[in-house]
Amino acid sequence: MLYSLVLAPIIFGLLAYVVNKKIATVLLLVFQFLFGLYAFYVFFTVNSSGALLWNAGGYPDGVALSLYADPISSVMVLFTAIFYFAFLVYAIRQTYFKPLFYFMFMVLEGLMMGLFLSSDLFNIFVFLEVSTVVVSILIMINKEKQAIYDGMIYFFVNVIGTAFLLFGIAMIYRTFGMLDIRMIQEAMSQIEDPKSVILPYAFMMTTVSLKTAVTPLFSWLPKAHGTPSAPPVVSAILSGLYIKSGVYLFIRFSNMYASAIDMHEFFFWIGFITSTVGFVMALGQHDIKLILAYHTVSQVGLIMMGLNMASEIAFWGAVYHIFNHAIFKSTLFLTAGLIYDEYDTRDVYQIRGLFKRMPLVAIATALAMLGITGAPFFNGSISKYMIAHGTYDYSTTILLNIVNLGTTMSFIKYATMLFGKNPKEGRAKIDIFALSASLFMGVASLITGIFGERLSEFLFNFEVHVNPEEYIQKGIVYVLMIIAGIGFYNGIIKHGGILTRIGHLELTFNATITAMVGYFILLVVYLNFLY
Amino acid sequence: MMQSNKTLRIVRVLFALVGAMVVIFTFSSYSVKLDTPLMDYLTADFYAQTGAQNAVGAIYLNYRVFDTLFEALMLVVSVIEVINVSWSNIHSEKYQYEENNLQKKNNSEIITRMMGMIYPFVLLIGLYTIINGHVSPGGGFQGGAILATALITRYLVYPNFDLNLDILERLEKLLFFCILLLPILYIFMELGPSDSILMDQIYLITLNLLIGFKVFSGLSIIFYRFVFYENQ
Amino acid sequence: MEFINGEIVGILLFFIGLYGLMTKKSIAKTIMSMSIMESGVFLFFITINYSTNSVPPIGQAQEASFADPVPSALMITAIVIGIGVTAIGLTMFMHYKQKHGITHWTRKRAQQGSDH
Repeated sequence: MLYSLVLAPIIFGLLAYVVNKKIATVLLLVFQFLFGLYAFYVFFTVNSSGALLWNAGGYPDGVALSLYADPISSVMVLFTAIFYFAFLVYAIRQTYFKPLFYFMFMVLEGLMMGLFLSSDLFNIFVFLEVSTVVVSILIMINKEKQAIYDGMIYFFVNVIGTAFLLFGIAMIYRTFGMLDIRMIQEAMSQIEDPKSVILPYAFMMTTVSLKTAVTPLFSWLPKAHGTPSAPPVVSAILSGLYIKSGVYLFIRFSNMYASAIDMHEFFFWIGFITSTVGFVMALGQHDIKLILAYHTVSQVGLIMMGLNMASEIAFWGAVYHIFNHAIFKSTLFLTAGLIYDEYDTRDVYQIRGLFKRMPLVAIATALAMLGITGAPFFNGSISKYMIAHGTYDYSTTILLNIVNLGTTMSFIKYATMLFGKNPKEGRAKIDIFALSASLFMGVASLITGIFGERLSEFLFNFEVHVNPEEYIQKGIVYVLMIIAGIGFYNGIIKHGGILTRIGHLELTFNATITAMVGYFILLVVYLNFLY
Repeated sequence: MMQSNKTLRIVRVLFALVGAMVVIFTFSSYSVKLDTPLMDYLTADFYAQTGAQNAVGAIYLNYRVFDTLFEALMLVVSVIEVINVSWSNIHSEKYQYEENNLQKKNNSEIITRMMGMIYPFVLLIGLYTIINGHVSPGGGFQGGAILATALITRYLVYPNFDLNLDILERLEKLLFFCILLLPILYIFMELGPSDSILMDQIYLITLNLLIGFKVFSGLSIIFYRFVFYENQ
Repeated sequence: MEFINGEIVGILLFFIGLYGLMTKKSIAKTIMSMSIMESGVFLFFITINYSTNSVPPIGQAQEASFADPVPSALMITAIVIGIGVTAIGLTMFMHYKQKHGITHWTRKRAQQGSDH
């Protein structure tokens, strides 16, 4: 019955689209609640009795189109369903909560479920293509000039990227004569010369790298995730959940090719460069949404580093970080929306006194920020601890610490909003639904941190033992980093200059495509040398 | 500035050339064909399994109908996008019944006459393609596109905007809903009354008809929106 | 002419499309190049498992073997998606042109955060 996870949101979205708004709100909330419970049920089933499989029409496995829930994908499904409930609660009182919006919103949920569950290459292509359109509609929902431009860039770049995937699928189909990922994974061992799968690998990895926004290909991401007029919920979904489908596809595809092609090292370095470039760009931004968007680039780079360290604990740490990043990044985007509503500006240097003006929002923001920088007892610390444990190599540890320092620096800049004088007297009135949703997400980042060890065991069946001594050591490093970050902030960042100029660098549309082709050629040539 | 633009341009041309050459080289010297399990399975016994005599129809209406659902969703989403992102931002009222839209003098007499004659035949062949989609080449998508060309010929003869796009749009949503429900009930949940070839064929024809009308309304909305809204 | 088959031509079309995407600043040409690129993929796909002596997969199997129906079925889906994509691209382009008078990809987006 896995297909109902994909189709139910779409059907209910369609139903909500035709009935009137009051009924639709109730319908969607009730549906999303039940849907979350169902996702829990699926998750428990997978956890206790192994992977679930659904073959369309009951045809034999391998020739039928199938949906497949393994431990990783069932966790993805679970947290997508739960976060969607929070997002829905956040959105119901907002002005943009209109039939078109919630129809698209629910359709996107179904498509994301499809991306996480589908085991068929062509099916994944269809999901990617449709979700690109849905996302671009959601970005452009206000039809403001900048939004249309951003939506257009997002749309074209991603459609062209997905064409690469289609070409890769064509070559895979030509070689193996099938489309099911698990079957291809088995058949991959028959490949004698790895050179014969270089091309499909390069084509598919180009698309996946574009979707995960690694170094040369990330220039669409800040535009899409940081679109000023896009509803905060949309930014939260894109940055918190949707980008994870790319990371997830990366895991799936690299597993598929594992027995023929192994590119750990390459993607580790790509991940490192991405996260460095991401935080350097984030430091140069003034717009809070853009800071968060560039920061997503940096964190995705960190996840890529963890996934490609060739160690089990780092791999699960990265998977756990996917989950954690979804929590704190969506919290930050949701609160950023509330802050913008109140202050009417997105300039990080003009917003001050958040603790006095909107204390609860400030608490949610602070919790999420502690999480993202990896403060002790918060969820970020656990996953970063796991990633750091993947290596005992000194230089790799230094690389990880550089990334962490960058994260800390950019969030010290972000944290200046919390303090300072209250611009107006008294407190702001905030929509209770939006507030409770963002507070819930913020508190979640503390709770998932405190119970991190148990949660990792519960979610992934992977036991982590956090060594208290080492953990305290990390805590001290964290404090040192904060101090260093504050120092850097007062010394360099505050005055802008070169960082601001770097932050405003960006590729034109043609240059983005050129980078994509260059990346593809690099992959092909590099692989040709490697094997 | 000019200089750097020129180098950039050369780099881009080089990228395209090098890319094509590298891909063709790698492809023609290393690519292999291992096996064709999917093709063997799908061409072996499709009539008995699905009731379709056309294997392509069998695939997209039965074996891989899950894809088709999202293909239909894609059309729904595109129509929504075309209507909502359109710069004119107004629903059909504004341009409706504008008398002076009827500009016959721009149309050649020959085209007008000929199109008038062809019009019913286009409709006929569209319907034929849809209904016979499971026994001969064709199907809902192709037939729907042919039906939509009937509206285009109508526009060439009589360029007036007296269609109610709102109704078409609602019809499209309704059809999409039916397209979702039918395979869920018949293929995924296997709620069909009996498991015979006849029942399968009824299912195929119904789904083909639904898809055909859905594609027809979707493409017509897109065409009329483009002609009357975007072209101002 | 063994060398000029659907697969090689498909690859060439794909890169011709990419060339257009890399060098042309006009948005309308971008949409055209995208279509060319997609056609390249479609051509490549339907050439897979093609042989001159196979028959269309309709009716019962005869002495000759059936052609592969899978690429055709997949390409129907991909072509319908392509139609949707082109229509959407054109609408966005028309919106941008009519409202803001811009037909080319601009170098810089408006700077944000400083406009308040």
